[in-house]
Amino acid sequence: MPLHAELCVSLQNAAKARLRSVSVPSTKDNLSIASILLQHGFIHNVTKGTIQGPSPQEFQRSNLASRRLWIDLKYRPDDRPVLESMSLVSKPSRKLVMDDQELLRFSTGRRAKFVKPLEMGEIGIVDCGKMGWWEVRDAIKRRLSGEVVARVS
Amino acid sequence: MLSVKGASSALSRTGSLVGVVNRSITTTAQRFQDYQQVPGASSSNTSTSSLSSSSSSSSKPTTTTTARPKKFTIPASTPYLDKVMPLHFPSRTLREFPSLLEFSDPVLDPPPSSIDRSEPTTRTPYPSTVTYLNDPQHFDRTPPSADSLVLSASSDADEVNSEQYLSTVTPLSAQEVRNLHRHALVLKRVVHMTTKGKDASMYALVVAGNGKGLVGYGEGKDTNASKAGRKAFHAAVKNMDSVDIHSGSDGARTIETQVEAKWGATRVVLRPRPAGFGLRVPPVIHAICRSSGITDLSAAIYGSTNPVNTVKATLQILWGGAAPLGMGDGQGGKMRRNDKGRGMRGRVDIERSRGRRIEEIN
Repeated sequence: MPLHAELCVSLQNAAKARLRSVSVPSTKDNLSIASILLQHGFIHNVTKGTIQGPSPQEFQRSNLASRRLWIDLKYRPDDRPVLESMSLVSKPSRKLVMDDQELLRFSTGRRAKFVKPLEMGEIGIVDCGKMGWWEVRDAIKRRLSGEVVARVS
Repeated sequence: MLSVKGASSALSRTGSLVGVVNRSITTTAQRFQDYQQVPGASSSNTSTSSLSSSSSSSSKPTTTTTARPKKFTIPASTPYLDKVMPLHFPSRTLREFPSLLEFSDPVLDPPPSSIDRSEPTTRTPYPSTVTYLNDPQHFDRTPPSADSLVLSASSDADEVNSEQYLSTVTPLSAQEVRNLHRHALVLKRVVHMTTKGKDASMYALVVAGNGKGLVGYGEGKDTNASKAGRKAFHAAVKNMDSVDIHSGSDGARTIETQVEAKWGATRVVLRPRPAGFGLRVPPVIHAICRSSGITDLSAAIYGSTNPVNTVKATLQILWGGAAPLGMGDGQGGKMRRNDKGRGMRGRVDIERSRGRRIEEIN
């Protein structure tokens, strides 16, 4: 079972190497995180595909092991990547679940659960279980609580 | 060799490139005129057109950038663009968003004259694009004017009028120079050891700023302390660069986000604070904040508190680093330590790169 860290590291390394697109394991969690990144402008395309390349038709035909998600990365005119860093907050060694009060503190520059708060321009990705995956500020609006998986800047 | 081609064609068109650099304030109309000219055929290139056409014979642009209609640019603010994130995308909303495929934005897209394109050849089967964006290596500096040469003559160091001299070499007027903040942070005696003994001189480090977002530091040395201070002030004013100050709705003038930077053994952490908080920062950083116009800040220096290194670390944060990827421009220029570090990213900068407004909740 691929860890969320694999997605974070793949995207960071691809951004540093300035790759056009990168493939990550095709899982529900990865697709949810990628769609939040897409909504917030960190990446510009998510395509289903296989190890060979992005292709929704091949994705449907292939077996589960060969399926991948292809993420197209964005770069600024001065050659810097838009997605500069993506790191885990809740790790397998130390899971972090925050309720809506703690999420509010986390997103407004105050400490919650001994974790560095989000700065201006950073987003946090929360897994709210049955309620789905949300960005921290969207989760606060909907009064959701969940596991804060990653921070992206 | 693609790189050599790119370099030669750029150097052969130095005349036009100087024009691009020196034009610090351009109207949108002027910039759009640039885009409509085919590279290598503009009026300013006629003198070097033979050189450029021979060297860039295989670098004709394949895209038809100049053929696209230049109707409008991205508006700064509209009801649809001001929303943090539209939750619904009806066709009416989609039509409000301008299509970036239809036009070149004067800020986001470089002008065609600073792009070198190469078509694939048998030896190099991939096309390449090299874009020159205000690279000082490829642009000749403007020669100093007669006024500035006369005023900066070292023999008349006693009679140099700072305001007059600085108004000739910077866009500032004499009145503006007079109103600049000036803080001498370091004044010490330094010694150059020679065979004949100790050659002492005075070293000064001065921070200058206009209190409205411009700040710079300069160092100066002279046998006389006041002359050293004046030299440092001149260097500081010439080195002034802009600082992104977040103007809060409550009247706070602070930085956007918490940042830290390291210079040598000096680690500086700057934290934004709300209106009325004040400048609760060490003295060196206090001078920089006063000069730049920041009124609310919290800061700490960890490790060494050497004033010279503190100034460099703080300005690395406030100016925002411009470190090229890979440490060095790959064209024969070493990485400079001053260029290192990412520093603070401005809000507008982030919003532009992502194409979304940043949402704040309370």
